[in-house]
Amino acid sequence: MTQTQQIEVRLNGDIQAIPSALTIAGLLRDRGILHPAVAVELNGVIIPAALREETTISPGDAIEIVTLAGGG
Amino acid sequence: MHGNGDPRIAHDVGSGDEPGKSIDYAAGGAMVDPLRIGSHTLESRLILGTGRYRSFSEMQRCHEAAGVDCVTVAVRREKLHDSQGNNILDFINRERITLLPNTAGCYDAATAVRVARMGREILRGLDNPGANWVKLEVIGDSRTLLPDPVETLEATRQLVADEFEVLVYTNDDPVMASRLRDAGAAAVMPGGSPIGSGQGIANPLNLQIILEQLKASDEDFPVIVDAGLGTPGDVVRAFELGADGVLLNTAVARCDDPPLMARAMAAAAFAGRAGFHAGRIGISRYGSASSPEYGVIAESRPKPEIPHVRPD
Repeated sequence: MTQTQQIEVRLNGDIQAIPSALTIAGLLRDRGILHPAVAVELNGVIIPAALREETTISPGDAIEIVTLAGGG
Repeated sequence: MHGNGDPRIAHDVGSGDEPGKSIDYAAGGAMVDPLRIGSHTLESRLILGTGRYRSFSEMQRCHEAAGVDCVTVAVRREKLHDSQGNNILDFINRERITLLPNTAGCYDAATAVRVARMGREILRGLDNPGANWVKLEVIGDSRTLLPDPVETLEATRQLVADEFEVLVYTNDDPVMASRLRDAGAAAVMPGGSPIGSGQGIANPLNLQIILEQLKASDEDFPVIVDAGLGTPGDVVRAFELGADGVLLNTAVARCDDPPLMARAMAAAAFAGRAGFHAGRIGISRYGSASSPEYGVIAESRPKPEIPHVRPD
């Protein structure tokens, strides 16, 4: 029986468990975020879309995933 | 850049007798009067928001009714469980409309700069021309939603250094407006009154001073009235005073019939701007007859010579 190892990260302000060794791109797929209107910040630094596949998430990382909403 | 086929826009500038005149009377009053902000050129001097509408489809009808080619958007955390719902971008015609990301909800310069960079990253991913500009908004008080001038100036400096074209929401303080312009803002956007308040232009004198000061060395420097307007009359007034643009959200989104109000606001923007270009008459204390004073069948009474006074 295999079980994916989990790590804890702070995702959009909440402590959450995610599979270990995920990349940013993998996290977006894991969460079903498939539209292009997102920006991702890892520990306060924006990870450009071109680097999402090669940027791996570590335990304790703070990740912000943002999109566009209505505003004035 | 957008909408060159739009039949409402006159393409031949000038009427021949006055080179460079920006109103084409022959086209039924359509104006070639683009609003230039940094590297951007907008056909519409009215900018609408995308918040507080009753539905995305109603928002889209408002954008179409007003004929805007720029709308503001906010940057918010992605919903991690229901990201498959309606996306606001499905209701914005991005072939025509440039997005203007804002930093609404930020209370300090550091957060506003972070949010601005996130907005730029999102718009780069969408290949939208709005990626290089931002509507900077740093709030100082949650009840009045008035801006924090210290944090706003600091954020302006940081974003200008990071090569943003910064459109800065500020209060109607002429000194602050000049400081923001000097810090490199691409446009200064004084609020008429608190955000969403519908009070209109609370202090037209301050707005006039801001316009005079910011345009003294560059008459094209954009000054946009950003907040608090409630009615088409408020929009007319802003343009009559000499504002280059008006940014509205709540006045349209929360009225009884938003698409109709959006149309009214666009008409008001035209009326106010055209009226400003046309140059109003002076204000006189006394009457001034429109009909000939000669040839009246009864003898006229003599009248004294009276001075005419310009309103300014």
